[in-house]
Amino acid sequence: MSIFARKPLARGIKMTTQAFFDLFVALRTAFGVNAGTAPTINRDNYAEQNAPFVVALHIPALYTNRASLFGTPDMPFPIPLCLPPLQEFFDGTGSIANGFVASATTPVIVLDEISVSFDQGGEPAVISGDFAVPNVGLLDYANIVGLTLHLAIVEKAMNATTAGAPWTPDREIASVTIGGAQVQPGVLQSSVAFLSSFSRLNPFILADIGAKLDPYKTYVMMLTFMDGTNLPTQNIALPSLQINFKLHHPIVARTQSNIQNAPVLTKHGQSMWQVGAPPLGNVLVDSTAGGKGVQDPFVVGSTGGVPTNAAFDVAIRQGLEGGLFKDGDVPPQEALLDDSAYTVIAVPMWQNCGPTSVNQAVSEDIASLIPWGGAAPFAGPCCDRRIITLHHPLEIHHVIAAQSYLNSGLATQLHPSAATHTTAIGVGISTGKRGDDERDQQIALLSFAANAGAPMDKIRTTPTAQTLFQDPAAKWDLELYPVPLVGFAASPGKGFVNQGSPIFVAKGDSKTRTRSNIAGAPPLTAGIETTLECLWSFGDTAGLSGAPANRVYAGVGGNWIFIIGKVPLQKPAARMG
Amino acid sequence: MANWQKSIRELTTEQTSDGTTIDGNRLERMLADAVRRFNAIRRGDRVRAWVPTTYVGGYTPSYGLVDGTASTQASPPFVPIFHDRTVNVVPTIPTPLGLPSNPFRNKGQKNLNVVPNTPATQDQLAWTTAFFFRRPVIVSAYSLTMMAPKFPFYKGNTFHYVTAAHPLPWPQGDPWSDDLFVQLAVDNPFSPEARMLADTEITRANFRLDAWRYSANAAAPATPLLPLFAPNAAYVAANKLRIGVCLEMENLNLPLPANSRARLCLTIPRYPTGFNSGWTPAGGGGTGAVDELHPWARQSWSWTLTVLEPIL
Repeated sequence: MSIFARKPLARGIKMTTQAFFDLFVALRTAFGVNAGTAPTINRDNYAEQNAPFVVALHIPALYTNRASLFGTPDMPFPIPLCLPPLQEFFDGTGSIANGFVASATTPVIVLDEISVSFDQGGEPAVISGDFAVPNVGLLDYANIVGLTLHLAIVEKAMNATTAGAPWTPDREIASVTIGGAQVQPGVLQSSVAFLSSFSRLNPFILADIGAKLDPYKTYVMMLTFMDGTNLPTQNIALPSLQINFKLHHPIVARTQSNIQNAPVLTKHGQSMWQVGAPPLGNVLVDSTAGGKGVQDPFVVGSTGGVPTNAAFDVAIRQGLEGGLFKDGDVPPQEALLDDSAYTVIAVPMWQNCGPTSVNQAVSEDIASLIPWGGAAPFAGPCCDRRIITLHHPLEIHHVIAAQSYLNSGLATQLHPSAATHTTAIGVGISTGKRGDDERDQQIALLSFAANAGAPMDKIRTTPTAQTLFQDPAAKWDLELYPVPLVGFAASPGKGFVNQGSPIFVAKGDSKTRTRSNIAGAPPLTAGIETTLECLWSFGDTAGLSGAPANRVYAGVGGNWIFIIGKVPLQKPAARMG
Repeated sequence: MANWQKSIRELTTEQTSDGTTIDGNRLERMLADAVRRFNAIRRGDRVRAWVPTTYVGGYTPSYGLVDGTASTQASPPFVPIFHDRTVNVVPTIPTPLGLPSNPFRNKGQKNLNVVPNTPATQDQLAWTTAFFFRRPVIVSAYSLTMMAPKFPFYKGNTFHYVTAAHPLPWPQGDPWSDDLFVQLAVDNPFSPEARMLADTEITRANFRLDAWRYSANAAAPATPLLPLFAPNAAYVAANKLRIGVCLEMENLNLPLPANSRARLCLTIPRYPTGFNSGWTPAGGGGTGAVDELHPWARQSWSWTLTVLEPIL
């Protein structure tokens, strides 16, 4: 709701100073010109009130091998995810018993676009995925005909937010079929999307979807290969499969209080973080400064008269401040309260680890090939890591992990269940990249034995016809886990489980490297974080190989870590050179 | 008025300058202008109106069946960049007339030690990821890390060739790898599949990887990140935690127009049989030390592409 209003000047009205100046007093107050007054300009007063974000899923290679479960008809390749509210909007009273509810104040997330791309080698061809010859990686100009992808995003109630929620998705949000079609049984139409020599639909984009998503539900991306890929010997690879979901979320204020690792800054003698108050506004012209008041377009009483256009114009053209500098510093004068955007960093873990066989899952039958497995019986812990360079500041509000058990080997996909099997998922921030002083700070960690895991959701996407391959004791394919942020005891936050309050991360500089505590102690990274590191390990003291067979540690397409939080709005860097 | 043009004023188009009269109508218009203007603060009014989006990719290859042999990892996402009618295609499938349409699909990827018209024996392999940007964006930064610790249970990678296992003598007798290329190219909007018309935005080629070491023999963090995995304990003991390469490109500030198709490429070599190579499931393999045989199959990859998108 816009905050500036006025009374129209009706014909014959007696002109008073209030009729004119009330508006400018309101402007002055809203922009926080008065010392100690926070700006109240929020997104209601923005022409553009939303910020885009992308859930970008990168799969290094995916194979449509016909000798596998994954190649069977209607068998989707799924990736689960959820988009919980930022901590300040999270339903703190929610529980499985009484449910989590998106209220009127919960920002709405809208799905705008879906795009998908994969590497065709720059040709109207596919890349062969035929391991037997081997032809893997070579161009295949024949089997592009009929290649059809069906991409869908579906919704399900989450076990952690809805008592008795089923495992299967129950609503389709959006879907699209890309490529050819089966014009009649056994007769394929050429896949125009991928076959043209002049303009292929790769990347393909489906835009203007406009579907609202529920922040307390689970969403599953499902990619299904249809028609042509079901013919014998047509094993193809999709290298560099990139699936992007573009969404938008209202612009929100950066977290002002109860935030860990935030710069301890002061302005006008008051802390800008940690005091529970919005950033102090001192916009446009500081009327408290001696001599400047005469130029202040908002000053009413002292100078009187009609404000000059020029003063307003200069202020606008200089730009209204909001957001943060790249190093995490706060602009010296801020006008805009809402200055941050929702963000998701989707981190692929345990991708593309399978050898040259039909089995792309990281499972018991390739235990000897898993990095860090050690000698037989390969106890591990095996670990995958991603190092993500931080180029802009970030607030981390939630960390969600997605575990896949999808086995592609036409074999039962057993879930590890022994007490000796341990999974550990960690996220940390570090400094020392291209430097000499490496320091790490843990910011999220989850570790559990296989017989004691507590997923927030269990998802089944396998068609009924294929469920004979599922674990008889655990007939679901995917799990979501909340990875709690550290610091619950010292700085409690909100989430699906007990976790700490949001954690700020930025490169820092001499002004911003003094930070508030993490988990009750000064951050080990000393306020100069340059990288984010995700680690996912699993191990079994009884060995990752051997009985029972067909245990899956990371399913086809790997596991995922979703880092969910806020990014302050930025401006492009000045170009050098 | 023939010379009328919209005022460039921001607050109001009304001019309250000397010599003009101010009546109720003018004041009314001025108030209306101000309300309309400040109730819809535009993107251009803001100093910061761009949202960073982080695209992440990467994987850790499998360990391999027998140490010292060719990697058991399939080459995708790395696939050849040189195309010929008879090689780099599935042998049993004929190549249609007029194809391949892009014999060379990456610009500026010249590896002096690879003869591109003999892809049967030597080649370059590219990990190419395509993005479609429906709205204008600014590419802000790119980074690539290759963690390559050399410990038992995983094949390390020194990014360091032994002289005998490389096709040609290195300039200055330097055995450091310089055959990893990075490129960001944007398709031509009118002939999007003609790679020869693509617009190259970023190219990094023929640079020594030792210039981009992650850390110069740094001391290990006193409190390493959890979970610890097998080599971490050894790392701490060895006083090293992260060994590898980190290629960093910041403040790129590359504007891409609406409806851009951008392709991010990482290119590695495949040298002839008998020399160290990239991915060599069918031939190759050198004569150097075990961890120098397949330098590109021996590290944990992570790349980050940061793009700024305007608010909506």
